Formats: sequence, structure tokens, C-alpha cells
Amino acid sequence: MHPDHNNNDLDRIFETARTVQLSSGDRAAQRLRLAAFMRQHQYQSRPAVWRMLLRPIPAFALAGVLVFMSSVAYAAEQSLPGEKLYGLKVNVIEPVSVALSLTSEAKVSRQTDILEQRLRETELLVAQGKLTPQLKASVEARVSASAETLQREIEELENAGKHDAAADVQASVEGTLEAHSEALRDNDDDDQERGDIKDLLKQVERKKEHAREHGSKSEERIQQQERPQAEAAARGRLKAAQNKVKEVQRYINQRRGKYQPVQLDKAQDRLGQASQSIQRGSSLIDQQKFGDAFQVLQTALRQAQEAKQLATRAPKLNAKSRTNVNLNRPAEDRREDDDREDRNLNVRVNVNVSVNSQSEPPEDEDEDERRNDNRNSDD
Amino acid sequence: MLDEQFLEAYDAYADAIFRHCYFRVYDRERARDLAQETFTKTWEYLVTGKKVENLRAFLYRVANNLVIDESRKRRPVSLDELQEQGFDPGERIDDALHARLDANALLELLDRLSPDHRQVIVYRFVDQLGPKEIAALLDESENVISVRLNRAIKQLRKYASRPQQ
Repeated sequence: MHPDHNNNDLDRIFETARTVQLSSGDRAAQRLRLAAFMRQHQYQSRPAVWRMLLRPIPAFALAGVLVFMSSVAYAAEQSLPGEKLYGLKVNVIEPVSVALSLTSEAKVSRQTDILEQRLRETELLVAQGKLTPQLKASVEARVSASAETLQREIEELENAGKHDAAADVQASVEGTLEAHSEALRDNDDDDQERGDIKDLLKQVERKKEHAREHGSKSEERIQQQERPQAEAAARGRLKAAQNKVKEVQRYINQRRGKYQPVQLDKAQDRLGQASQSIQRGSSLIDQQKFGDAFQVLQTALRQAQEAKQLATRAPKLNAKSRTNVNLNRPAEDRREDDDREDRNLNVRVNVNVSVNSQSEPPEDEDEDERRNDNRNSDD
Repeated sequence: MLDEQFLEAYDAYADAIFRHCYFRVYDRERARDLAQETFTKTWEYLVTGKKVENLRAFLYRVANNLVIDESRKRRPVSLDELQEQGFDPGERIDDALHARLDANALLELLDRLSPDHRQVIVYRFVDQLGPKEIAALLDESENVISVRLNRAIKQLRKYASRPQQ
């Protein structure tokens, strides 16, 4: 298959090499990311006159502007479908955050967060009884688009030979979809009058099945691999699953004493299942059944992700939640509690007075803490 | 340098930098990430107010450093693996199969060269930089680069006339 080359061949080969280029899609995406990066990192060597003009601005005024801008961004991030700032969140903040991800792994990770966000918003809308038919249609479309984008990204990672990264995201997506479809099923059982969420539930279930199908294909591919590759893949999964279980255990421990134990116990049980799957996977590796081990360890990763989602949904002790727990309370009661709580939070009050006064009451504090905890545990 | 000027520079050099990275790391995805990082790192340098005399040369220097860092971090990709993954030369080529064979042949030849020889061959024949520019990039004298290039070309010709067993 290797032809002999002479000088003309070499010239021709180099000529061809010089035609290698970025695809137009990659080029446009890179340019967009670069432009966003440049906006974030602005030129410091401005003309002297601008420096003179900028310098006298009092620090408190600048701080005020920054606080206002970050408040708007913060309020937008907390907004739900149907609220004023939701467009800013899904059309500006999230796409920019994806565009700013410098590697494909970081990009996919950010998109997993976005899918998680869409599903959590859906649960909150259902819990608050705000899921109107119009909102339901747009929520369905967004969940669907987000899940499909992720599936495409996973395929791209696989095509690029980044099998470990693809398997991590696959397990994470499946775990997230499973946990949220469970939550929607619970809501459906809790209160039939809160609106028909069956279609939504069906859609999440379909996405989950689709993701599982895709995951099964990847697992089959691993089973067909030669022994050294299959062993490396299985050992890679073992390590990933062990790390994930440790991470989720830390996360659950951090929440003990602050959040309601029933849900945390449920999360702990699921994490226990993940640990058992790890043991099974490890013993399959010892028996040199690497394909089976890979499959079982992927299940462990999914279970650990589900455990994390369960822990995330645990309501705070001595506080109300808009999610599953107090769903049967009248909306007015929940609103009063929210208002009382917000009066104690100066920053939150400012944010909501300035940008959200016409819309629904601010989202609960639990949600903020969940996000913070999420971030901490991710760190 | 203004934002628009830098974006114009991106339009002018993005493909060249990507190509350079591609023929150094043999992986389209990694080359794409490295090319992106080359531009963001260069911008970070520029916004601190530092001057760059020759932007094109500076971009190649940053890309070269990133490629070296990358090769220290990652295991090298074998040629077999590369061929299994398939080579995707981009959009502009009419005869994709022909191009694929040629590019694979080049990758095969480059793979047999030492890193130093591969580096100068890519600079000279893929990036089309002159010996003087290469010398400036690698902080070597023009004479050293010319000698290295001659040796690399001899090696390349030798390998080209004798297929790998």
C-alpha cells in the first residue's frame, strides 16, 4: 500500500498537505469563541485620554455597575421558563459559556449542566403548578434539543477516539435522565391535578431509552475489542467509577444535618448500589471478563450520578422547598414563606426588586445552595 | 492591536496554524484545540500591552510551544491508529481519496523522521517559511537551520524511495 516516491511525488504530497484546513463549521465556532474570549480579556493599553477619563470614576460607582450587571446575570440564571430574564439565560448566557469552553471535553461537560438545568426547571415548574400548555411545549422542545445536542457531542468524542470522556458523559447523561424521570413520576403520583405531565414524562423516558441504546452500542463495541484495549477500557471505567462514588459520598456527607435525611438516605442507598456494582465490575476484571466489567462499571457510574441527583433534590431542614416535599401546600403559603426568607437576604432582595419585580417570586434559597454545593463538589 | 485587526489575523492565519499543529500532532481534534489556544494565548499576551513585531511568526512560536507541551503530556499516536481513525483533510479538496492517500503518505514519511527534522520539514514545506524565519522561530542561526533542512530532506527522500518494511 506504500508506493515508491520520487521528488515529484514529494512535491505533490506537500502541495496536498497545504490544502489541509479547518472545516468551515470549526472555523466559525473558533472565531466566535475567540471573539467572546477577546471581549472577556480586553486590551489594557488604551489611549491616554481614555485612561484619564476612566480613572476618576469612583470605586463605589464602578462597584455599583458591576453589582448591577452581575445581579442581572445572576437573576437571569435563576429564572424559569416564562419569566422575563429566561431568554437572556438560554439565548445569551448559556451559549456564551459553551462557546468559551476551550476543549471539547469542557464543552460537553457544560452541555451536560445545561441539560440538567432544563430538567430541574421542568421539575420546578411542575412543582409550582406553573406548567401551562404553551410552556410545556417549549420546555419539551428545549429538553429534547439539549439531549440531542449532547448525544451528538458524545458521538463526536467517540469519533475523535476520546472513548473514556465519551463514556463518562454517557453515564452522566443516563444517570441524570433516570433521576429526573423518577422525580417526574413522583410528581405525577403526588398530585394528578397539577397538570398533565405525562407527555413530558414520556419524552424524558424516551430520551433516557435513546441514551441507554446508544450506551449499549458503545458497550458492545468495547466487548468486541482486542484484549489489551478492552482491559484498558475496563480499568479506566473502574477508576472513573471509584472516583465518582467518592465524590458523591463527599457531597452527601456535606449535606447531612442541613438537608432532610429521608432523601439523603435514598441517595445513600443508590450510592450503595453503585459500590456493589463496582465490586462486581472489579471481580469481573479479575476474571478477565473485560467487556462485562465495562458494562457493569458504566452502570455503577450511572447509579452514582443518580445518587447525586437524589441528594441534590433533598429539601433543606427547617425550610420549605418548592420541589417535591411541600407540593400540596397552597401556592400563596409558599409565596409568603419565600418573601419572608428573601427579606433576610439583602442581595436577593435587590436583585428581585430591580429586575424581577413584575415576575414571579424569586426562586428558593435551597436551589441556590444546591448550585453552590454542586460547584463545591465539582471543584 | 484592535479587536478587528486580531480577528482579521485569525481569518488570515487560522488554517495555517491549524495545519502546522495537525502535521505535528497527527490528530485533527487536538490540532483544532491547539490552534484555538494559540490565538487565545496570543491575545492574552497582546492585551497586557506588549508589542509583537511579526504576528505570523509569533503565532507559529506559540503554536510550537503548545505542540511541545502537548507531546510531553500525551502518548504519541501510532500511525496504525491514525489510519484506523481515518484522515480528514478538510473541505476544499476535490479528489478526497487521492488527497487522503497523499496526506497519509506524508504522515507516514514524517513519522519516520526525528522530531527536529520533522519540525523543520513542516515549517519549510507545509508552512512555507524561509530558513531565516525558521531560524528566528527556533532561536538558531540560519546556517544551522539550512544544514538541518538539507539533512531532513535527504532523509525524507531516502524514506520516500524506500518504503517502510
